[in-house]
Amino acid sequence: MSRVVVIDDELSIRRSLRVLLTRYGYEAYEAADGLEGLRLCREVVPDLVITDIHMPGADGIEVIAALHAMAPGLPIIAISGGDQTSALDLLGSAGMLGAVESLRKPFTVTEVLQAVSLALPCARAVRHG
Amino acid sequence: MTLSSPALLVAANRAAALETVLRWMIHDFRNPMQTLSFLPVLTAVEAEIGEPQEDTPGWREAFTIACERLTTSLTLVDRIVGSVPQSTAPEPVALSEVLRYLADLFRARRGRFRIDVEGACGTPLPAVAAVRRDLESALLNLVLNAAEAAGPAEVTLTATASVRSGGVELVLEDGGPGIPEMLRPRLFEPFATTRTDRPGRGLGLYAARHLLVSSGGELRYEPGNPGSRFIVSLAEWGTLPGR
Repeated sequence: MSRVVVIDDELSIRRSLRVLLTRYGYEAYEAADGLEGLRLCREVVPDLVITDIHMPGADGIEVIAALHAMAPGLPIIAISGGDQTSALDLLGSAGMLGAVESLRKPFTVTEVLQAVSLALPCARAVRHG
Repeated sequence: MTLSSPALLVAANRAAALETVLRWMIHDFRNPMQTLSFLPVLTAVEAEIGEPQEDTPGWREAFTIACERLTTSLTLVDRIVGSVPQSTAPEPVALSEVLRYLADLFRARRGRFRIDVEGACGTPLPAVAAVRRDLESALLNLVLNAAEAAGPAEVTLTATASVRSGGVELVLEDGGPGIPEMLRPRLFEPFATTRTDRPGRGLGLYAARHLLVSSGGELRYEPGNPGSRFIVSLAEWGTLPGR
């Protein structure tokens, strides 16, 4: 069973994502901010991380950079509610830092499940490569 | 009215500030919308399983929170666009209510900068003489200015209020990079800005001061350690001549 860590400071998002992923056969974990997320990743060694961008403490961009240093090749999906034209929009930066997929909230169940299933082979390729 | 008339510059600034706030609101609506968009699928899966699972209370809690967030955001939008008194003459304004509104507006702003006006909200304050809408705009401008000047750095902004003889003094302090010395003499002039990458800005402090002075208040700057301190002086209602 693939392990997915969901990092989002908004409880309703991380909780519903975790439950959704669990219902679809993933072993899902949740963290409330970037620092907790990094701690959790060290503990559970996930196959995939889904992280929000705008969070207190370590934000999603810092999380992505830290995860790349900690676990090179670990696929990361960045999610954000920032609009495309403002300074809040950091999804582009997430992609440049190596997030394999970026999803703008609100995304559909199909979109997130598709992104997860596409990203997980990346993890397997790295692990078995 | 000329192209550089104060009214026009203030209106331009008000529009820019409103745009910024509405962008925040878009962000605030997207989170609960995200959660609620999962509801039909999770409900269907739950019905298929036929009995509540261990984490069922968890996702029900998530939907309750999402609904609360939507309600809060809708209340704020209503406040921003619809419910603000439109008086153009100074009137008695409860400063703590204005600060509470700012606190609500910034409560959801996480990550890059933190706004703490809670300390000032609880202070017993007399009613001040102000045009409420202008006072809110001026204070919003001061907060936005701190965030803008800080660039990508995290900024903590705190507000404290104290009663002075005949009025109230509100101090807004930020932990940003502060105002460069060479800019200070023309800090409250239009288009004075440290940011060269955002054309058309640099009206926030000008507008804030204009709005405060035109309703009997004052605004001054002091260098912080680090960052900036903006001191807003407001007359207590009843102390201005003729009131």
